Amino acid sequence: MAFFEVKNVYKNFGANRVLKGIDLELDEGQVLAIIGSSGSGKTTLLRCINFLEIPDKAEIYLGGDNIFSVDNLDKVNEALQNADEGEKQNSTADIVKDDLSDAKLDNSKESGVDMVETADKKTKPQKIKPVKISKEKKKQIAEQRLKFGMVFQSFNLFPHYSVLKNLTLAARLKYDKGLKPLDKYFSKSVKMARKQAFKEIDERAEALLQRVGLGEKLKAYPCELSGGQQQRVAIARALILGPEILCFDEPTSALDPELTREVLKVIKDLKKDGHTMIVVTHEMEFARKVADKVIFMADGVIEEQGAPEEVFGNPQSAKTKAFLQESEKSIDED
Amino acid sequence: MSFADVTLKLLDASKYTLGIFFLTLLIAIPLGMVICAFALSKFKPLKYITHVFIWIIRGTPLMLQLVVVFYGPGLLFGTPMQDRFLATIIAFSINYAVYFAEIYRGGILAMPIGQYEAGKVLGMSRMQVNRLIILPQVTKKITPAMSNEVITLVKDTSLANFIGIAEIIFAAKSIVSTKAIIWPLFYTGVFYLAMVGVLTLFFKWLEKKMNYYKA
Repeated sequence: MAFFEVKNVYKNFGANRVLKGIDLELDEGQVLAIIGSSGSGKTTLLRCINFLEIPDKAEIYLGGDNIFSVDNLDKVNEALQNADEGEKQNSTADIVKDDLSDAKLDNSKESGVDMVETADKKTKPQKIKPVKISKEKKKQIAEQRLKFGMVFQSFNLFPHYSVLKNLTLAARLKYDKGLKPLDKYFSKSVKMARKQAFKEIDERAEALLQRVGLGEKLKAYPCELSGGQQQRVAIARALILGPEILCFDEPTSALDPELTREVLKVIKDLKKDGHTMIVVTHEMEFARKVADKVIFMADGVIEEQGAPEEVFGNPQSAKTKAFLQESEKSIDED
Repeated sequence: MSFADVTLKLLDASKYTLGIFFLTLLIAIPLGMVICAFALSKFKPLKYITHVFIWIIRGTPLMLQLVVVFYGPGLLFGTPMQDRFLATIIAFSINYAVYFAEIYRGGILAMPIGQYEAGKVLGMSRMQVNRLIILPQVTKKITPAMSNEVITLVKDTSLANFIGIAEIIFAAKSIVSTKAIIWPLFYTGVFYLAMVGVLTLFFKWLEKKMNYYKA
């Protein structure tokens, strides 16, 4: 079994089927690049992996352990069906829908299915009650969440805290969580240990900032940094709790080419350090050169996957070819 | 009646003005948070009731609310409100809490979702995110709007004269009617200007103090 495995990921937003059965695996220390056009579901997949969205169905394995499983697909389909009936649609629509879910479970990818899907989407009401997530699942998520670090497209640094505090805040809160309440105010030994622990957290944060080349910016506020520097701080912040897997959601999409380069260099360095990473990206060059594995997504399924040389050099699917040609074209036009 | 006499009388009346001002702030600022939390609640009935309440309070004159709070209990339940000052504080606190709640709500809704998500992926609880990430940023965002509302409160205290609180306008009016001189009424403007001046400086200072970051 691979170090990280995700099986059968389904996610609907209302009547919109965003992920239709995704499986992927990744070995420790590898970098996975997820590419695809906008709306293909690649960001949603990443957000399902690190629990920012709760998938309707998924099994997630890390280091051989099943860290999270959920299957609300029946309930979701039921809700969709009810919404259909509420619309008083004729019976053919139901049949179409049934066909669709079968096709989905088979994970077959016929272009006909896609056409049905888009037609289906238009007639269905968008308001469908989301399935309730059980308390038990939420608890499981809270426990497992810290195994994943997340770097956002828009950095999402805390603007009112210094760079150092952006890093240390979560680590300190995590430490305090392990203490008995009030001990940190009254117990002398706890206070001493806490002070020492916080000092170590500060040191770790400093080391991480040095790793991303911002060792001298400890006391700066995010607004005083360039976009590239902010994103590097965000990367360091995502590493502070020692996640097993680092997720990037289009980390350079808000940056100009020069700043993009400095951020991508940091990601490359992290690969050298042995970090396992999943990167949703539009940087084909980066995916080609840095990734160990590339996944091309289209319409909620994995259209093609493999080593970058295979996916870029010898794409099998028509959609992949079209997408890669399109991205080449835009480079030529520049 | 000499200038000094009038000044002393009005200064004495200022204690009511300031009393209403500070007590209202003391109650309305936290009460506004509660109302804001209700207005943002995911529990639909609570949310809708709160919105209706906000509509009623914002949709009627504060002077009318004063009258309702002061005379309402007596007319409705036969238990007359004994304390005019208490009635004033209740009416003012509710009225201002509603306005504050709407300011807080605006500030909270202006927070980008990414700030919540960043806290979440770092393992912070909802409470921690609200307290450490959202609240400090909202505080900065709403300061200009709050300063506006607080300055309005200074002048609204004069409405309390309607139910017989001896604040500045009330005192000036009684001088006007007993001594047959009109100028003390104009003179009250100086007192309000002085109070608002201090507040303006205070909020300038506060905004500057919170300007250590931009977002």
